[in-house]
Amino acid sequence: MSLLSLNHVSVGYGQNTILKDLNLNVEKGELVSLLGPSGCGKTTTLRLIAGFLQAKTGQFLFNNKNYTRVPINKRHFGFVFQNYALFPHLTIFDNVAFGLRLRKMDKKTIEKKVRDILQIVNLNGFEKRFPAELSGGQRQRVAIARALVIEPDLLLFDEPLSNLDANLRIAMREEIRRIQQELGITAIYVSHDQEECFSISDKVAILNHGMIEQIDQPKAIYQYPKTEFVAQFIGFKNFITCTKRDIHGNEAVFSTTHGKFRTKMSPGTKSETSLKLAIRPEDIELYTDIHSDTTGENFLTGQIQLSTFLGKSYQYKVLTPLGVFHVNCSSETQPLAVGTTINLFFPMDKLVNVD
Amino acid sequence: MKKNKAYLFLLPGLVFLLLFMIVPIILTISSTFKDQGQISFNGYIEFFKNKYFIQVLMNTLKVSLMTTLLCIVISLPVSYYISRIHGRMKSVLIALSVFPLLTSAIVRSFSWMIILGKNGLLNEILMNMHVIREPLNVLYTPTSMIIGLVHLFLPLMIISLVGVMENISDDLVQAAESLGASRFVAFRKIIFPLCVPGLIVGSILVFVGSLTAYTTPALLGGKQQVISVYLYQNAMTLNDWHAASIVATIMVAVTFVIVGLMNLTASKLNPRGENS
Repeated sequence: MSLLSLNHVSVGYGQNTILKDLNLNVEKGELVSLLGPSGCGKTTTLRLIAGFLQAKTGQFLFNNKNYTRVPINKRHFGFVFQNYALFPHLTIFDNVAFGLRLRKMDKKTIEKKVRDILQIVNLNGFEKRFPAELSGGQRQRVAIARALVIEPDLLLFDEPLSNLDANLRIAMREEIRRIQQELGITAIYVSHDQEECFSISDKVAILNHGMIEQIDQPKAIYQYPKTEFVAQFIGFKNFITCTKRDIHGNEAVFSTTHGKFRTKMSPGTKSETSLKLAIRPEDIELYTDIHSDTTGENFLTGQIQLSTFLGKSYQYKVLTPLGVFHVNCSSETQPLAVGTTINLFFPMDKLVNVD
Repeated sequence: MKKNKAYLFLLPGLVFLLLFMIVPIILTISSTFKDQGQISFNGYIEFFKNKYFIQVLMNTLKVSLMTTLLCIVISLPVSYYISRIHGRMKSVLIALSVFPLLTSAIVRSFSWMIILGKNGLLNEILMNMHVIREPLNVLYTPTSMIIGLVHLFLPLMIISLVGVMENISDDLVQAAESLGASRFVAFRKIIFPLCVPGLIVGSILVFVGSLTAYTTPALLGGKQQVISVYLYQNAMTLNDWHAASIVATIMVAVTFVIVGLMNLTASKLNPRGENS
């Protein structure tokens, strides 16, 4: 039994449905990220778990208890806000001690716990300061300490790093991961930053239009996106629509109007009707000399339409009988002129079958 | 040097204030310390020996204080509600709450006389409902004065509080709740302290307004005198301008003391005095 499960949850205001029939399971000690474009319902899901808003239908189980109607202050979850939401009139010590005082702990215990948690987030010595006197990164660490000190059953992060600059963001996400693992806390993390989610999570759930498209380990999602939306979201820019699929053992051959493509079967069975192949721009290989070795299965001939310099690489827009493909090539080689006829090669282990 | 000429824009206003406010106030105050050409405090000593005056002063302070407290109690929930809603409803509610300020003091006071009088609306309703047997004596008491003043000054408190409450993010309340606070505790520990700056501004406006109000206490207070009415009688009925000046000076002094005390309380309640 999972620690947390959302069963067939829907949320909406009036005619507007934000979540429809959402299912999510989180195991104890896991850090699960909710990732998706803005408006996909990731923050709504998090606020629903926190109790800030109510589900229209469905059930929220936590630790085998029905939490659907439990008020916020009885849930015992920590919440870290995007804008920190520190209490401006209280010192750092009082901010962190806020939750402990409500639990009627004695003064000495509170003092010890606050000191210990400030040590963990590297903020000892800041007790007497006010939030306005701290930098963004420090404030966010106070917010994390304030949520952690009550030893919550679940820690919720709502885009906690999006107000920080790039370098600090990387340092803070490592910090969050370290603290989460050190204390063995179960956490749900919302972000629209792919790299951030992939780097700190045990599992990533990709949301779209209020539904989870795929939930899996970061590497699995990165290698084998299940749907076209997920593939597109994580950087697969090229899609091939096929007409027929033949499975031979752990390989499959896809037929198109212009040639055949052989791929390895990705883990997890795909439905019979899924006839789409996806590949990243950097995984397509490009050949200028066209002879018998560079034609046949997994090859496609095209013409360069546009060349863009991306720094690390050149991106070519290549027109083929199967549509336009984006191909990235190392910028160390000589750039190819627009109009050049070339052959594209799609390595079979990089070509992914998606829904 | 050219850049620093901006202060010239202040000049017209300053001259006006100096001529028509500061000079007259200084003249009024300095005149109270003179007795037949000599400096003396006799006027004040006599006043503070006068039991009737002390009673009037205390009465005024009590009425003003009660008015201020009632305004705070009534405004807190109302302002919180107004600060949390958006759109058209908000402008409508703000316009409605400011309405008492737009009506004439005389009209407002006469309506209260009709409602609170011995044979007025209130007594009639209560007697018909058999809540009371004898008509209540509300009109011409401190209570009726307070009712009239609260009605008049409530808008100032509501506007001041809405101003600060609008700047308090919903996230703060949700953060408090997620840490285990009930709605009420979150209000008491987070919203209320952050409201203190607005509360002080509102309280000063209401308190000073009540202290110096003339029409409402004069019409609703009956024989119960307040300091402004007393001042008017000294000046206009008794033609004793010296005594009236002393009363005016005492009013100014009391106002300053009270405002000072309020600021002191504010700094204790909210050490930061800001919300960022």
